[in-house]
Amino acid sequence: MEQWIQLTIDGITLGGVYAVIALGYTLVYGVLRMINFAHGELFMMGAFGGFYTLDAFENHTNMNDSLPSLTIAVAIFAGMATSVVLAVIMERLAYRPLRHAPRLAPLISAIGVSILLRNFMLRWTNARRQVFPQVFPRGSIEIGDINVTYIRIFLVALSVLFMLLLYIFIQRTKTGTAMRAVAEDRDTAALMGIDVDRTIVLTFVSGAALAGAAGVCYAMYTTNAAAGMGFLPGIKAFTAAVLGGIGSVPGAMFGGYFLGLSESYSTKLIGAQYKDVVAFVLLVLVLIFRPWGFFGKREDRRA
Amino acid sequence: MARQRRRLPRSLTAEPVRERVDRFRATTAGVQFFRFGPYALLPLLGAAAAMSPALLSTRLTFLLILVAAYMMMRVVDNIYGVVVLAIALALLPTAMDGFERNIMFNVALYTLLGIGLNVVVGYAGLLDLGYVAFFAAGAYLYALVVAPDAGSSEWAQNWELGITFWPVLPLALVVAALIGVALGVPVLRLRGDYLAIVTLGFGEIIRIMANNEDYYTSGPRGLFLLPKPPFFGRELDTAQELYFVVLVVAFVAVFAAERIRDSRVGRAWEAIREDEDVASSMGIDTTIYKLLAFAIGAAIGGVGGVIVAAKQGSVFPTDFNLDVSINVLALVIIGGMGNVRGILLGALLVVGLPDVLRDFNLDLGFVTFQNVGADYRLVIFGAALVAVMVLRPEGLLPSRRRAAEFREAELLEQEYAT
Amino acid sequence: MQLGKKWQWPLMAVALAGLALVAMACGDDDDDGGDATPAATSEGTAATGGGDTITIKAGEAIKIGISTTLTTDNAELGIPIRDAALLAIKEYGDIEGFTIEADPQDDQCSGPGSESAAEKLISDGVVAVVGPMCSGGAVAALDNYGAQNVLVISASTTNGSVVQQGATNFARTAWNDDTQGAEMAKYVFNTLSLTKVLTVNDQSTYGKGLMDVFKAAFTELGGTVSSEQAVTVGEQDFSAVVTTITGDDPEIVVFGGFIAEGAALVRQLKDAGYSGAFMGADGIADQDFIDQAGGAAEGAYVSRGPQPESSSYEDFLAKYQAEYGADAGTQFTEHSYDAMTIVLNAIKQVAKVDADGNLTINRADLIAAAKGTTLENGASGTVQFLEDGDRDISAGAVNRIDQVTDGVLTQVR
Repeated sequence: MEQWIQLTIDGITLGGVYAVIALGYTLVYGVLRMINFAHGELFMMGAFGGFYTLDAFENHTNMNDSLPSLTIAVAIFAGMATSVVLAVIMERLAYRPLRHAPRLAPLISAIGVSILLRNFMLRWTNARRQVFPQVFPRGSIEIGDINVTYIRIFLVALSVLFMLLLYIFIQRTKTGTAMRAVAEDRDTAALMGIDVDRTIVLTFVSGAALAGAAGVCYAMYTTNAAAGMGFLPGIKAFTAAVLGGIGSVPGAMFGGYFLGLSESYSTKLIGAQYKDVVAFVLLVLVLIFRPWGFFGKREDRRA
Repeated sequence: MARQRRRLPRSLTAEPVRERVDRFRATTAGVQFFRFGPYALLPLLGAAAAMSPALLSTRLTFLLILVAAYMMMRVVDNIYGVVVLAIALALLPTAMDGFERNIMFNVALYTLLGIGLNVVVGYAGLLDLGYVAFFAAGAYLYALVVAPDAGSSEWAQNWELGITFWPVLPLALVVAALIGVALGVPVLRLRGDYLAIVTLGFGEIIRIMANNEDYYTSGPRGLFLLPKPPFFGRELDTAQELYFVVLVVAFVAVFAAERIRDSRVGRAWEAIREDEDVASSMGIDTTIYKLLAFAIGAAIGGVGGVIVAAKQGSVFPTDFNLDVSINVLALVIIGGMGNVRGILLGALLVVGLPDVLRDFNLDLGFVTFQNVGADYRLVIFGAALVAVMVLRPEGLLPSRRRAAEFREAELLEQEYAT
Repeated sequence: MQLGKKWQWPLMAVALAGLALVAMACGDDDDDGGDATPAATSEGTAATGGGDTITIKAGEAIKIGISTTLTTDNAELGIPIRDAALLAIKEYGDIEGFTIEADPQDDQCSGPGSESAAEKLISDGVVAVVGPMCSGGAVAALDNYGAQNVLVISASTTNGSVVQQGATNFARTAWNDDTQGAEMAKYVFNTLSLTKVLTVNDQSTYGKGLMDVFKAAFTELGGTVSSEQAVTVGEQDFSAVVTTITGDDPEIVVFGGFIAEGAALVRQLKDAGYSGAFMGADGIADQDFIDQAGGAAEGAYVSRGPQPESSSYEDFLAKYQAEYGADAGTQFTEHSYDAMTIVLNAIKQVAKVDADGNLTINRADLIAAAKGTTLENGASGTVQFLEDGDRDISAGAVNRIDQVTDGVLTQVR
């Protein structure tokens, strides 16, 4: 029984990461109807931004020991900043020129960006994994057989916090409303006086900030960062976003946790080698009964 | 009786050459000859240049550029252009060394795969990110059927079919088509990006199952010692010979695909691609046509898999990962959808470019970057993908139809520009 | 021509088929290595293997190819392999006045990549090749090398299937997984006296293959493998697997895979409170494994190839460190160094300078010389090859077992 609780906690931790990345996918899809294949790489670059920051702290100061919460906070912001800057550049160079192009063109462009970033970082790090300095306090809470490390709690809490912040941002602020408007109907939003270009850039920025923060936290959790670390989570998060209904923010959150839990349980029940198969089979089943994902809206055929 | 004054044969009249040429020019054949003839020399010139030792170090790059330029001139739409292209493609390997022939084999193979994917994505408008599943099916089929016991899996060792390469081709066609239908049935209701992720999932499922079902597929250990195709007492074992096999199969596939596209089925596909709901309300049975698209695309992919398995002599699950699906999709889109020549061009770029860049050294005069190719070729490749898409989003050689559609859409957008 | 447009493609197909027949009929006398390349010419028939000769003109360099992974995730392991081979070349000097040049190519640890690298090296006119890096790639590429009878010595392909290809031009300085797995089983059962084992593999040819061998050997000895778990290369969060393992509570977890996954696994096991032992193989025999695992790797066992009797191993480590400023890492580097040394020795043995000052090397002789070599004091010990190209284990002791003590790998057997 306790093992199942442990597995559930495992699933929620991982699911939180997937959910945060999926939010980025879903936001961009909502306003641009485009799958940003390079989103996983934003996650990865954020992790590296955080790594170099912590590394600098480690080598030049001793703040990692004396003020770990400060250095971690700075690292997270650095990661977010890295991802945001990169996302803005990406949007400008690789996506904006393709806004009116056939749907598949930005997809290939995104794939190109993903390949470029991944291989560039591979060269940059000379294919070695970068090990994070140990900043986050080690240790765990133990209740019976259940063991939860502190950083895992931190990760879960941060994911939930970011999701809540994003939700509030989208629902309550003017910019968020603008994003929703542009996602609903771009031309009408323009007629209403919304600066569509700026809104789109801000959407990218929000998604990227989330991914970057998630990247730093995940890298601290796994204690290292590597050039290829964003590829698989990117695809999984895309799956999660689709499962929840792409374009829907609560859908992305739901999808992320659903996927995380399914991976966790199926590892125990069937074996880790098949967990991806299970995930995709579940996806197909969900989509058979609800072809727009769990929380998705009935889209018109342009999708 | 009055004898008609026999006209002298034309060649003996004193008509100046120039007038005769003008008269020829006025005929249909003449128009075509003069319009396209000079361009027909281009690849032949290239082939001749290829054999000259002076161009050795940049030979392949040079040839690829020539063929690409040739195709971009749209002269290939004409029968002469086609014939000349065929001759050029056939002769190309004889002017190349082993490395370049290997590249050409891969280019030809991915062209074949691109033709298959084009049926699914280009004609029917179904975004398929898991095309590698059919490719894997064909390859594993061949491997399981022909591998000798030493290189086979436990399950496959139990039966002996005693057939070789050629009968496996039609078998793979059928089996892959069935798999295509099987994969198509659950996704019938899905649109666009939902379809994309599910098909991606299928590709991964096939790979994972191949990797884990050791009893059936020998898992990560792979299947090896696969025999080469027999040919009148010999075996086809060089890249060049198998390249011909691929090309012949590819052209048959193109023929079939284009004929189908120009038939009722193709028109149904086009209707579905444009607007599925309207199509079904017009009485088109979308189910049948979508499944047909999957089946045909899968069949072509399966045949490609058989050929690759024969050439490589082994199959491993890692050969069938997501990158293959993505590469095929990229080449179809970069080349320009709905257009076979575009697919060939796309294959040249997506498959040929990374390998051609192996040797690439950047010499700027004041500083030389060694091994740029070896270390950075994938970075360059990614950048090239982005560049091509940004500069020419409809693809490098879109069919006239697509180009028109695209320009029309662009004009509309500009009219309502925000 | 007034034929409809639709007939152009079948016309092309027929034309091509015809041309193909013609080309194949005469084209086969034309070997694949075709034209003259600046450095070397290779003549010979593609059909039979013997009697090829490669000539290096006076003033040109002897080219040796290195086929390893430079651009995918496994580049972590592939780059040091290249570097070790380069070091061997640098130290060797020249042969008969001809300088030696390396030609490193990326084989992407895959079948198609290795074939492409092979064809590139062949057309570059290499005399021999150190590589490919991965077993799957080697199985695919051996046909290509064999057609030109190029000597191939691999430092890192460990799967049994590679030597089952029947390739006569191939040898490897790497240890066969069949041996390693059996030795690991014996150590766990006999020396550590543990009978309940749980295996984890990374679903690769290497990892899964090794664990399969281990399981078979261990069960035969009388132990039990309580379950077989798997992790995915590229992932880092193995919490569910770890939870399953702790639920199972084995005495030791045996891992087949590489550094990244191994380090993550052992660290997460420790964090989850697992108190049993951990054992890995040559894929994690690297200081990076210890670094990435934090302190969690302490006490882990690592199986590697046999220990050389002489100090040649330490010498190699020192030289590598001096040249590249980094730790030599996994065993594959010393295997690569030895492979290159054997290649160079064989060339020296077989090469002849002719009247014009050109160097001629008979390929068949080269292969025979290399495969018949006994390399004493190699970086990985004494190297000898069996008939099928596999490394002869009788020349060395049973495999070495290290344990992580105080953050470094220390030999315990």
